[in-house]
This record gives sequence, C-alpha cells and structure tokens, in this order.
Amino acid sequence: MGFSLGEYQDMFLEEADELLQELNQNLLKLEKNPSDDEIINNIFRAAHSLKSSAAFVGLTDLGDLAHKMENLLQGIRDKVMKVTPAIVDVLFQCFDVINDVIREVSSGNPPSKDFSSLVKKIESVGQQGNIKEEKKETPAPKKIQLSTNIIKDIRNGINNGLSCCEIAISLDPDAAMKSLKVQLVLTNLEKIADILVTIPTIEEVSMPEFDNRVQIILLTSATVEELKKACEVDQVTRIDLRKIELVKKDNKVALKYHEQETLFEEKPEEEIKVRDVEEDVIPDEEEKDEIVIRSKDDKKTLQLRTVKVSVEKLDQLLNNVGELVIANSGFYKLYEEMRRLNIEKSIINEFKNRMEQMSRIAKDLQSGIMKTRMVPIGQVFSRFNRLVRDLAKEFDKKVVLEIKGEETELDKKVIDVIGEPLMHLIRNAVDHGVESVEERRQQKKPEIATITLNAYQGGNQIFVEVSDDGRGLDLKKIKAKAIERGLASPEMIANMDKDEIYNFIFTPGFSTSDVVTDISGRGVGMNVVQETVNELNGSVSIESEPGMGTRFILSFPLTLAIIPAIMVRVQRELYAIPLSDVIETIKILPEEITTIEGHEVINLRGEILSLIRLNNFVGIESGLKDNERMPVVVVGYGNRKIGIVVDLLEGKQEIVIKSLEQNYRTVPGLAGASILGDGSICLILDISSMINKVIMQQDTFSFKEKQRVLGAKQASVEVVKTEVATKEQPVKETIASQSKKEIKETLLEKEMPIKEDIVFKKEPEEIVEVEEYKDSEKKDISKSGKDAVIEEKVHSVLEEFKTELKEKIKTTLDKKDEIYQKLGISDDDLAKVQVLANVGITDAAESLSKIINRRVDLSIPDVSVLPIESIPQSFGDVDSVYLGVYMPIVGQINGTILFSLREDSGYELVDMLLGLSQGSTQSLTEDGESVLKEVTNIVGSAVVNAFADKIEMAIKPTVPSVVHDYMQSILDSILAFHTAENEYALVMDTEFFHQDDRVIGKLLIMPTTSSLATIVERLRN
Amino acid sequence: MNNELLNIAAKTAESVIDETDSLDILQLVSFKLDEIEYGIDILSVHEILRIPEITRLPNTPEYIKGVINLRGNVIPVVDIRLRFGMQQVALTELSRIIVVEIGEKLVGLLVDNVHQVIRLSRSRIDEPHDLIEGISTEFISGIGRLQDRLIVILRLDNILFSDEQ
Repeated sequence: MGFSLGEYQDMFLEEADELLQELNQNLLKLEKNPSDDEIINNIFRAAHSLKSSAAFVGLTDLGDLAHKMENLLQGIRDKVMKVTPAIVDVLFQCFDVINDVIREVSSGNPPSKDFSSLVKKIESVGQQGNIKEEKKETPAPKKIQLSTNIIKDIRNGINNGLSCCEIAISLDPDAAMKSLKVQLVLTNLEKIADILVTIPTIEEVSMPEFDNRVQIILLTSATVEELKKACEVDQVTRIDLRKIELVKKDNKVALKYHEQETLFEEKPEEEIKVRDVEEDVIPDEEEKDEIVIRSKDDKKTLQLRTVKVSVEKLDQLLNNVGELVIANSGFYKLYEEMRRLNIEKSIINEFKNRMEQMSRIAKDLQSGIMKTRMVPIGQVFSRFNRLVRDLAKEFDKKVVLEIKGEETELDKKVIDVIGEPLMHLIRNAVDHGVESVEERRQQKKPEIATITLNAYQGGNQIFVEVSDDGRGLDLKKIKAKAIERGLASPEMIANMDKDEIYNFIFTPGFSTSDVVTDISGRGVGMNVVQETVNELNGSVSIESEPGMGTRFILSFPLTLAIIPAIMVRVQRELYAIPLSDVIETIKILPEEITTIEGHEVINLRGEILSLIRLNNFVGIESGLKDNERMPVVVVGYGNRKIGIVVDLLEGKQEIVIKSLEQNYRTVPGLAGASILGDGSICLILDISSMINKVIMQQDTFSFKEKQRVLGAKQASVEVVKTEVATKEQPVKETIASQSKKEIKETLLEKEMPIKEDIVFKKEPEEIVEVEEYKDSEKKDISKSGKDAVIEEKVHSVLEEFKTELKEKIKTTLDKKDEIYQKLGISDDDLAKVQVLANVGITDAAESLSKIINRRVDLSIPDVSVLPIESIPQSFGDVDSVYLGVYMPIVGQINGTILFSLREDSGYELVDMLLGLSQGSTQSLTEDGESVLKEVTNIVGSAVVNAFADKIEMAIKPTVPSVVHDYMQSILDSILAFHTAENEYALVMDTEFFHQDDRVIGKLLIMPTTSSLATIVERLRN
Repeated sequence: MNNELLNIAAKTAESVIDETDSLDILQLVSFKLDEIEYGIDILSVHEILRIPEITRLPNTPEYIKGVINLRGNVIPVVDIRLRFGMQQVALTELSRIIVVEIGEKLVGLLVDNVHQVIRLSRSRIDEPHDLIEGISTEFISGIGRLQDRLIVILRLDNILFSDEQ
C-alpha cells in the first residue's frame, strides 16, 4: 500500500514545493540583507503557511519542524535575535529536509526523516543568536542519518554475530591538532572493529565548525573495555557508548539505540543531555519492493507537477506525431475518392469535418511536443544561487551571483547537461578566479566579487557565459605548465596566441594539485566542460584579463532547437535558410548583375553584394526564365553578407533541425535536414560556410573592379515584404514605393497553414539609408515601431530648438565682430587661443607620429568662434556627408569636442594613418573607425590639455564616438544627446601632412555657454 | 503509403533451405543485379521499403541517391548500382530500398529487386576471389555456393564512404 496523505496530498505537495522555493530564494536574500524586514516577513509567512498545511494533511512532525522554524524567525522578526550565519545554515538544512520529505511523500513513501536533531539545532542556534541571553552549549549526541547501505551492513554484521554500537568521543576544545587525535582513535578502533561511519568525517574535523565531538558507528566483537581503551587518547575528555540493534516495526527496519553509557568523563560535573531510546526508521529493502508493486494499483500514488521525460522519448513522440500527420493526409485521398463515387453529400461533409478536425489536432500536437523541448535556462541558473553561497562560505570569500538572460530558451537536451559544466566553471570561478577578500582589498577592488551567469541568443548560436571579476588566467603559468607536461615545446608556445594557450586548460588533468595555486584548479573539471559542450556541437572560448577577470563563453548551435526558416525553391527542390541569417529578401533584374573576375555581384544601394546562385551551389539547372525578376535572399554572418539567388521564395516556416551526421556525415554547405509536416525532407543551408566561400573570392577583387561596379547604376531593388504560400498566387509588395505605409498581411485561405509571412529584421532601415543619401535634406523616415516614434520626437524637438536658436542669433550671423563683442572676446584673446591650440597640436603630432611610427605633421592655421548655427556653412559643403568624431568633455569645463572632416577626406586620413596607398579606403570600416577615434582622442586631448594647463582647470575628454552623416545631423545628434546649451563653438581648421598628402579637417570645441564664459575669463588672467 | 514495409520472409520470398540442422547457418537477403545474385546478412537488415520520396543530397558523391524519411529519421540512400560502378537503370515497380544497419548508422541501399531469403551453411562460403566481374573486393565478404548458384555476400562497412573521403 502506497503512502498517501489523503485527498489534499496533491494540493499540499504543490504548495509545499512552491513555499520551499520561495523560502530558499528569500533566505538567500536575507543572508545578504539581514535587516530587511520585508524579507523576514516573507520568510515568516511562508514558514507559517508551511506549518499550517503540513499539520492539515497530518504531517505533524513536519508541522512541528516548521513551527520551530517559525519561532526562530519570529525571534528575528521581533529583533530579539540577530541573523547569524549559523541560523541561516540551520534554516537551509531545514529546507533540505523538508524538501526530502516532500519528495518521499510524492513518490508514495511515508516520510522517513527524523527531525529531532534539527529541532535541537534550531533551539541551540536560537539561543546563540539570542541577543539577550547567551548560554553555553552542552554536547548532545547528534542524531545520525544513516544510509540504507549502512543499515544493510549493520544488519549483515548483526546477523553474523557482531555487535553494533555508536561511540561518541568528546575532545578538549583547546586541544591542538584535533584531527590527529581523532585519527588516532580511529586507527586504534580499526584494529578491533569495522568502522562503518564517522560523523563528522575526518576531513570535517579540521574545519572550524567542528564541535569537538565525534560519533563513530562500528561493528565489533570486542568488549566494551577494549573499545574504551582504544578510545583513550590524550585530550579525549569523554567517551560515550550506545549499543545499536535492529528491530522490525510496522514493516520497517528500525535502528534502535540503547541507553547511552558514559565510559569515561574528565569533568563529570558537566551537565550532559542524554536521550533515551531513539529510533531511526528506515524502510526495509524488501519492503520497498513490495510497496512499489502495490503502488501500481494504488491510484493515489502521486507525482509532483513536473515530470522528467527523456529527450529520446520526446523525439520518439515527435516522430510518431509526424507519422500521424502523414497518415492523416491519406484521408484527403479517401475524401477525393468519396466525392468521385457520388456518395451522399451529408456523409462526405461530415467526413470532411472530422478529417479536418483530426488534422488540426495532429498539428497542434506536433507543435506542442516541439515546444516541450524548449526550456528557459533560468531554472538551471537559479540552482546556482545556493551553490555560490555555499562555495563562498567554504572558501571564505565574498561572492554574489548575478543572473542575466534567464528567459533564454534552450533545447531540453542542452538544459539537461549544461548544469554540470556550469557547476565546474562556477566552482573554479569561486575557488580560483576570485581573490580573497584581503587580496581584493589590497587591489582596490570591491570586496564582494561578482560572478555572472548570462545566456543570450546571437545569430544561429546560443551563448551561455560564466564570468568573474577575479584575477584572470595566468598565461605565464599555463605556458610553463604546458611545457612542463610536454604538451608543447617552448618554440611552439612562442608562436601561439592567447586563445591557443588558454586552450591548454582543457587538457585532461592539465591542472592537478601539483600546480601552483593561482591558475591551478582551473583544470579541474575543465575537461568535463569541454567534452560536454563538444557533445552538443558547441564550443568554449575564454576571455581573460589579468586582474580583471575571466569569461568563459559556451556557445551552442541552435541546431538542437526549432528555428524559424525561410523556405526557398530551386526547381522543385526545397531548401531552408535559417531566418536568423537572413537580412532581407529582394528581387533583382538579370541585367543588373555585373561580373567581377567571373563572380556575379550587384550594386545594392552603393554596396557590392556578391551573389551565389543556389542552383549552382546544389548542382542543378535554374528554373528561372530569362527575363524574370530573380528572388535574392540577402544573408549575413558576422559583418559579411551575400545574396543567394533562388527560383522562388516559399515562405516562413518553423523547422526542427535533424543532423545528417546521425546516419551519414556532414555535407558541405548543409547544416542539416528537416522533416516537414507532410513527411517530406527539406535540406537546411549552412549559411556561414556559403558566405565564407564567397567572401574569400570577394576579398580578392581588385579595387578598380569594385569602383567600376559602384560607379554603375544601383540595382533597382524591389524588396519583397510578403510572400505568401502558393505558387499560383504570390503576393508581392514593394516597400521602397510605399515606405511608410504599414503593409497589411495578405491572408489566404490555404491548405498548408504552416506557411507564414516572411518577417525581416533590418530591411526598413536599409531603405531609409537610400532615401537619405538621395536627398540633401535629412528626411526622417520611420525606422519601424518604437524607434521611429522616438526618432520623430527627437527630430521635432530639434527643429523647434533650431528655429529658436536661429531667431536668437539672426542678427549676429555673419557679423563676427558683433559676436566677439557680445562674448567679450577681443582679437587678442583669439590670438592667445591660436597659440594655445598650436602648442596642443604640436604635442598631438608628436604622439600621433609615435603611435603610427611615421612622421605626421599637424597644424592649426586658423581659429575662430562661430555660432553653432553657422557651423555647417563654415564647412562649405552642406550636401556632403561628413565623418564626425565627438568626445564629451567633463570636469570644470563641460562641452563637446568634435573632430570632423568630409567623408572623402576622412578616408584619405585613414589611408594616411594606416599607411595604405591613397584611395584604398572606400567605406568606413571598423579599422577606419578606430583610427578616427584615436586621432580625435590624441588631437582633441592635446588641445584640451593645452587649454587646461593655461587656464588651470581640470578638463577631461571622455570616450569618442563616430557619426557618419550630414554636418547638420552630426551637430543635431551631439546637441540632442549631450547638451543643448551650446551656442558657440571654437572652430579650428586642422591640417594633417604626411609626405605629399594633406588632409584638412576641423576641430571644434563646443563648450556650454557658461563654460565658454569661464574660459574667456580665465584666459584673460 | 509508398513507404510500405514488406515482410519479405513472410510474403515475397520463399525460403530455400539447405542443411537445416546446422547451427552454423547464415541467412541472407538476396537481390539480383545484371544476373549476378548478391546477399546481405539478414542480421544487419533493418527493413525493406518500396521506394519513398527521395530528397537529393547535393555536394555528395553520385552514388548517394539522397535521403529519405524513415519514421522521422533522415537516412541516406546508396544506389548500389552506382556504388558498384554499374550502369544506372530506371526505377521500376520491383525496385526496393533495403535498410541496413552499419555500425550505429541506418543506411538505405537502393536495389533493383529483392529476390528471396536464403539459408546457407557457413561451410559453403568461400573467401572472396577476383573472379567476380566489376565490383571491387572491398564490398565482398565471401562467395556462397547454393546448388548451382553463386551468391556474392556483401560486406557493408565500406558501402557508405569511399576511401578517398
């Protein structure tokens, strides 16, 4: 007969489970904020609820325990007690025990836990934590929870004529080397007895928590006297012995403790608490089997709400449902047949209704099962709160765990196994990554270290990160160890980059105890981490900065999960492109394709886009007619993109990726296969490999060829927004012609409901760019959704602001003298500024030359003060696009530094500074951007420093940002996002010379109005 | 549906019995290509299918006919004729896919027909020799003699991948 608590059991178990979760979470919080009343109240409430519901279903013991917890908490709530680590520990232990009870009950077993020791503990910590009265603790025999195996051993031992007893020894609290004493006792005992269990273990004896009392359970044929003798070691103050017998009680095997006999005591006057007969009830092995058999017909055997199901079973189920869907399609044929046979209409209709209903159910079932495989990672992450807390205590460090991205969904298979590698990484982070509090203090780091768990999706991958802000990996030590272990020669190591060296830590057994501390344990379990991740086709990468911390990034392909994909056809063959790789889909005319060195490209809005024809890639003829517009799927991977020319865009669909390796092997260009609702197979393209192949060719294109293509007409791109369902009725709409209009989805009644609209991530923005470049006046075309609204607002605010400003300075425009007069600046002042600027710029030229290792000269020939409004005109060419790098300045002077030059000049400057031949740079690359930022930083800082020195004020430029736009827009964005009080700017023409090349830009210092006044005033003195 | 499972032992093939008393009996699923009879150990045969829809697999050798959906498993199909370097023929009503287990993998073998199940004493199997026309010995584990018939017993290990891959 299975154990049951009656009809409310279910409710109780669910509730208790939830309460426990809540208690655990809140207690963790309380530990951090011991004085937070609200948390205490929450814990108190939850404990109270637990008490009531336990008592309600008849679990009185559990109720009592909860009651004790409640009392303890009440003390805390009423401020008569402090939250001590001991209290928190005891509470956690209670939660664990209660959790065990819940598990037991839910699996149909009566609770076997004994709470008395915990209750005692609660009482004792209650006294310790008590602020008013402190009482000395007396040693009480601890209740020992014995595992079934030990019980079995005891039974066997007793059956073989040995006697079982528990010996408890107390050590002098002041004794030195306690573990040695205990070890001595154990060694003595081992000669005459079989020791089954020692509590605490010999390792725990050396811990500070050791309460000077050791309990040993053993089987022996020796006499009491012999045992006593064995235990008589120096500084053992007391020896207690209890005989243990096994008794049967209510079909359970119980451990019966006899009365305690004190064999030896140094201070007999001390009060000793002795418990009478105690019982430790453990279900008998044989009995258990019987219970299981019986529980089969016991309808009340209940489970918790969640059921653990193997992924294999889910896969099997998914396959079966797939079959069901296919089998169901057989009814359609039958239906056609019935119609042909002129069977009565009402019957046919009824048949059709039923058939459709069944098809719907089958599909719901299919998608339902697919979704069951996806699980948010939060449940894995939250487990680690407790681990980090326990580890931090263990290693005596202060660590908080920060959790991000817990809602990220991963395939069940990944979720199931990711716990272990994460555990190892976190363990290592706490043990080895994070420094001791002392060390952190010395390094001026916050005492509390942070370990961050983060999960997010990027492209076709899911990333899970474990990072710490500890000491970082020690490259030197890893290198030394790798050489020592013969994993690489010193020469090899010298040629390795950081990543390769970090990878050594994954070598099995790489870091064992013989390694010097700092990096050591990093190897423990690292091999497990890598193996687990590899099994899931994932990878691990490491970023580490000495003194700053280490970040482990695990990435998994989405291939385990369901992914949305765009389905395309070449002739009749169907291929899927993961939607995460797709930037947009467009249609182009065949004549817009140009070839560069044999490769097809188009000029897509001023950018060269390499094309790859899917039919060539898969080795068949294209089904496109000669003059037909060609559908192109623009895909991107990293910052590269290409266009895939297909015959037909079919639509969007959710697919489950199946590996080809399982029964075959990886096929170049394919990421896998998917089985569609009708049972047919569709192959999934591996976009990254396709792109890599094409990009390698593209990189070899000569500059001249590229120029030729870019000089030619841009492709008349037609963007395909919606492409619905059937071949007969493709619905196309162009966004270019009706950019702002919300395009309504065209819904067709279709036989294949799986196909949905194609949704694109980026395309509207791209269109905006086209429009912007055409018109000189910046038009703000909606970007999409929220962004658009925000942008529009900003824009209208700016417009207002500008008009206002215009009004204000209308009179002063073009009347320099008046401005100077208004600001109180004389020509003398300007001359001073000029000198200062030149001092600064000389410094800048020097540092710049040093950095790029080539002589670059700089000069500032002209300095003027201009109202912000007239700055665009001062650049002369309002219709050109400019590159602007701005750095907000902070300190006693506030404002912004802007270094700006025309796009082409910017590229020339990049070429000059990167040592490329003039004309190499044709677009703003990442390198180019960082060069410009660096130049601005150097030049801007040098000039600002020159000023700061002169006017004796602290001014500091901050991080530069790049804007690539019309001058007005550049200014707008600076004014909008930084400060809107700038009225005037100090404009300095800046010339860069290198050999015969000369590039001119403008350096603008735009102080806030009040700061400008300060500068002028200070300059005077 | 077209991927109908045939129970060949029960339906399509008669059993030819030879020296039934011995424990040392090998059962073979046999098929004929160009008048030569081939046999596959029945223990590695998973099932036999009529030809389902085959999805072509690009960027693979010609003898990989494609992949099929076997109850939710994607399995490759090897065209045995092309694998053995023979002339390709059109599919017929008799064409079948013999699904075999090679290691952990399930692989479909496209054959012209499935002939019968043969029981053969191991004593009647000779080492492969070079007399078999056309096909490479890497695919042959032995030659069985049954009355006046010769049966080429196939070794499947190398059937899926070529050496050069």
